[in-house]
Amino acid sequence: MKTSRLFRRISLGSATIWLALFVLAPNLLILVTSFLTRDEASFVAPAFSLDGYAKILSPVFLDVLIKSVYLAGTATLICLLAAYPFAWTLARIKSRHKGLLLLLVMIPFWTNSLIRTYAMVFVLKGKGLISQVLTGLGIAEHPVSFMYTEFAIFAGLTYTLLPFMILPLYSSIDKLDESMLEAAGDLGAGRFKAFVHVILPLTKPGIIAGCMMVFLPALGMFYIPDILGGGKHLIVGNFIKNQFLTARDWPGGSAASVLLTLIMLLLMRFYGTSSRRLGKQGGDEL
Amino acid sequence: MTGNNPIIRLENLVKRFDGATVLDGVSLDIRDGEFLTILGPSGCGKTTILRIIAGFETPDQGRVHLDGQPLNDLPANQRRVNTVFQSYALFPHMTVRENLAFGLKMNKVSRREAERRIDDALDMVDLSHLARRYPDRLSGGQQQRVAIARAVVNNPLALLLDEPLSALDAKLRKRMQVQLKHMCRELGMTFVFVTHDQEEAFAMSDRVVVMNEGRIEQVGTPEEVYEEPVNMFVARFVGETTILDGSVVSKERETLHAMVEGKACELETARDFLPGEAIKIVLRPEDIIVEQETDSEHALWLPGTVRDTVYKGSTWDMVIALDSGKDVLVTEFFNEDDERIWHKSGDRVMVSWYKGWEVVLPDEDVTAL
Ligand SMILES: Nc1ncnc2c1ncn2[C@@H]1O[C@H](COP(=O)(O)OP(=O)(O)OP(=O)(O)O)[C@@H](O)[C@H]1O
Ligand SMILES: [Mg+2]
Repeated sequence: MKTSRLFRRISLGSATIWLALFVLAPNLLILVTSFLTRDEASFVAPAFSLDGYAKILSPVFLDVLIKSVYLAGTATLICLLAAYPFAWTLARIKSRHKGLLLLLVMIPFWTNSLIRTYAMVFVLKGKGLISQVLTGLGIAEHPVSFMYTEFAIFAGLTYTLLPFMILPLYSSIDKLDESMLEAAGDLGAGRFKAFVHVILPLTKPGIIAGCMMVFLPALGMFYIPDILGGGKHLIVGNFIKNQFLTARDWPGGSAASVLLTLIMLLLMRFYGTSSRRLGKQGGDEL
Repeated sequence: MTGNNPIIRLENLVKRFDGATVLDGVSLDIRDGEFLTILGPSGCGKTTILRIIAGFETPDQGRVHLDGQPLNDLPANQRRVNTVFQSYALFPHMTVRENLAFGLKMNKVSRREAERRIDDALDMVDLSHLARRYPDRLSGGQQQRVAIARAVVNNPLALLLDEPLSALDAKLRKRMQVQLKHMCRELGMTFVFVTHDQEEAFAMSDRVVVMNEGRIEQVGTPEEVYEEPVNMFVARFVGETTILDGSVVSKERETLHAMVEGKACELETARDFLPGEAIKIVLRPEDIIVEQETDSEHALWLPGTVRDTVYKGSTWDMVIALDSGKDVLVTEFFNEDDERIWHKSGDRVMVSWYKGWEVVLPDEDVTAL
């Protein structure tokens, strides 16, 4: 009894300290910085100012924000459409290799995503894999490069973030009781209607969780538009990076970060309310 | 209730899973409006039969007819039968009312008609006041009634129920048994009910189908199945039994001269037996007579000792250990005017049975060789 309480305290305590050190403290630093004054010599001067926020209200930043939402949103949609059938198949097959297939989904995580993005260059460039296949098949006469296009950015974002969509979808579909589908059929629903009225609503927590886990990181993945988009397409992540490293405007970069965090918190709240309504069904552990 | 024409006809159904034969030539006519129970031990294929009727499984051989129409190629959503799932399978994202409305919406029933039918169905299962609740806010018994209402509201030709009461406590279970039977009469709807509980089957059914290892052993009214079991499996599975060993001496008409537990006696049976054949005599607890002392000329009286007595309110149950080694279960009914002596544990008694109440069956363990 006593030791278990002690254990609980230690584990809860260390988790709290960890969160305080690595989540709360940096976020607080950013929040504080966003309200300070820009200073050429020491990055920030300890004087209150709203310049940082003025910067993110500027048309330049709004342009970047809209563009980011467009790029990240489209990538999220592509991920969803690609991952749903895959997660469905994975959850429904009765094979001994199910565990192996899940492992294969996760294996790319073991390689740094920056390296994987450079690998994408070799697929997309003029003498790259796609180009060679196309010319080899006679579909294209000359080598075609997909580098520095929106397509390249979508390909990069989708490739990097797809597992984050598959896993929550899988967990949500896996929990879907077979008898739900049978009940829908029994009551007269064909495949399409069963999907729209039963499967989709019951896997909604997975869909929302997956979309959040793709959309939010996509907003910040500055190196993908940098490497694959050739720096032509700025996203919020690039903007923040540039504020810190190029423009040396720490309050501006911090203000943009705060905004990103706020968007994330809002989406999480939305997810919380929508999954609570579904009660025990659905991925509430995420 | 309508006539006796079958609403569902199963013809020689065979189903295999991974090489194991789960249904082995099942043929059955289910009459319109009857309450039919499929009874059998776990794993004998009861659920599989329901799933084939509902369209969730396809038989490897054989045919299913619903109301005279062949069903084999019809998908589940186009069959006019509805299932009450053992797990209830209520849609958790819909309220009780929306759950009931689902089938009607899928079948394009007009809105007004649908509203009326939903109200009726909710009323019938006594759930009108909970129509706006979500299933996870209902008790097990309430969820179960929603599942029944959700199926019944579609007005199917037959309602398929797979052990729907097994998760309920004993009291609620009894109440639901009565209610289901009542609904079957009231709606004139065919109920096909699966259970492995013999008491439940008897309490509710017009007819009982006893299954074992993918085959139908016997179909009949509860009385027929209880009083005239066709073989040892049915005799043992349905109700308490005492089984005595014997062998045939000779047979003339309905009278069988035999040796039972080492003593000569006369038995009544319509079956044919050959002299020397091994037989089993099946007795129900209420067939047995127990006396302190007897004129042992009259019939077969077997000596024994009372081992246990159980007072059950309206009956007095006893276990008597025969000197020949067998145990006999006895149920005696109380009667106010009776001056009978109630036996105590340890009493020496003589045991016999009401003439003609016995069931004589061939000893399958021997004939199978
Ligand atoms: N989808 C399946 N795949 C493989 N075997 C199955 C499948 N469904 C059923 N079986 C097997 O078929 C046999 C009969 O199953 P069924 O569910 O019809 O039994 P049941 O009579 O309903 O039993 P219970 O009373 O336990 O519900 C069992 O041995 C079971 O293991
Ligand atoms: Mg079953």
